[in-house]
Amino acid sequence: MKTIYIDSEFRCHVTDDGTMTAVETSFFDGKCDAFIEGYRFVPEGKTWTRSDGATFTGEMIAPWKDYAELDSAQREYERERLADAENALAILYGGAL
Amino acid sequence: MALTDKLTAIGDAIRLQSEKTGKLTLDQMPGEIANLQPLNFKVVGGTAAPSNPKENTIWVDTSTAVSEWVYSDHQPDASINGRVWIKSGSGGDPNFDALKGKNWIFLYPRFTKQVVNGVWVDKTAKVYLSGAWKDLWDGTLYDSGNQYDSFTGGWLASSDDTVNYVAFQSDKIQFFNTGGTTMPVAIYTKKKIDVSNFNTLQIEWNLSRDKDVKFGLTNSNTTGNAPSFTASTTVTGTGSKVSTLDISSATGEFYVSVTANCSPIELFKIKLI
Repeated sequence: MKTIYIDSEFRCHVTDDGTMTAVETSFFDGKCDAFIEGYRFVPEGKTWTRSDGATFTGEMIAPWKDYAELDSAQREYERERLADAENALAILYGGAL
Repeated sequence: MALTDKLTAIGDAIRLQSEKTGKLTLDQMPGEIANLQPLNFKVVGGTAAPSNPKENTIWVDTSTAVSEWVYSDHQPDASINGRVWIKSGSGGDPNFDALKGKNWIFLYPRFTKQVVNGVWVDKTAKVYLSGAWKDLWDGTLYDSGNQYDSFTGGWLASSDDTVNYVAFQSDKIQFFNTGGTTMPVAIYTKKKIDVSNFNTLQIEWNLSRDKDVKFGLTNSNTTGNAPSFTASTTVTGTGSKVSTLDISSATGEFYVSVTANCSPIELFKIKLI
């Protein structure tokens, strides 16, 4: 479970600028900041209106940035974590620090 | 009609299409005609597909004579009986170049309707591309028993036990949790769907209960009873509903999935808009 913050347009943020609403969700577990901040989280009971007038009722979690970009950022994040873990293992098994 | 009048009429016809105003010699006319951009497709009606269609022929399956056709985003008025409306899409298949010659206009026909006795009536249509008829597609993934196999690959259920399961009935998909201990069940499309040119995922259904009812896009259809959603809407409340999910930024291919941990849930239609 992770705490994220949503602004007046329900866009997600990893830090609160003092005006946002905190939300607890497991949807973003394991996700990098760039991924999280490309999403919109509309809580249950709230309604968001898209620029074309279509309305959506929460709870809705959907990207507002191009998902391909978010996916790319998340894959890079996971590659870096894997490399870090492999380096740590190498050290644990006798490598130099 | 004097011969010069006939030649002038030909020149006038060329000028009308080319939007040029200058006079033309006979030697110039073939070149001007060759540079015109006639349409590269035709629209025909009938209850049987044309037997020797040309590439890009749109065949509307109808017993009502096609008096005219309109290709547009917005539905025109129903004032002309036999008028066919071809809804324009913004991408995806099928598609084709509407012009002959060096310039391009790509058309993405989605579905057709026709004015029959003063009202618009849905009509199925196909377009002839690369030697085969291709269905026009309006984004429907499931409708009242039709699984739209050619686009979805069909639908699969996560569970086939006798207590918590999904039934694909002749007119709807029904979720069942009949035992004392319920568990979620899920359905998935068998194929990934390119949702890049759609903005909304919409479901029409009837919920008798609303425990853990959710639908959306996933990157896998092998996660069993617990879909790992990339985008989702969780639905609360009971009764007949039209539920929606914003997918306007979801570019690429995804499976579509629906899950519930209650019953009965009756699912009638799933559509990309």
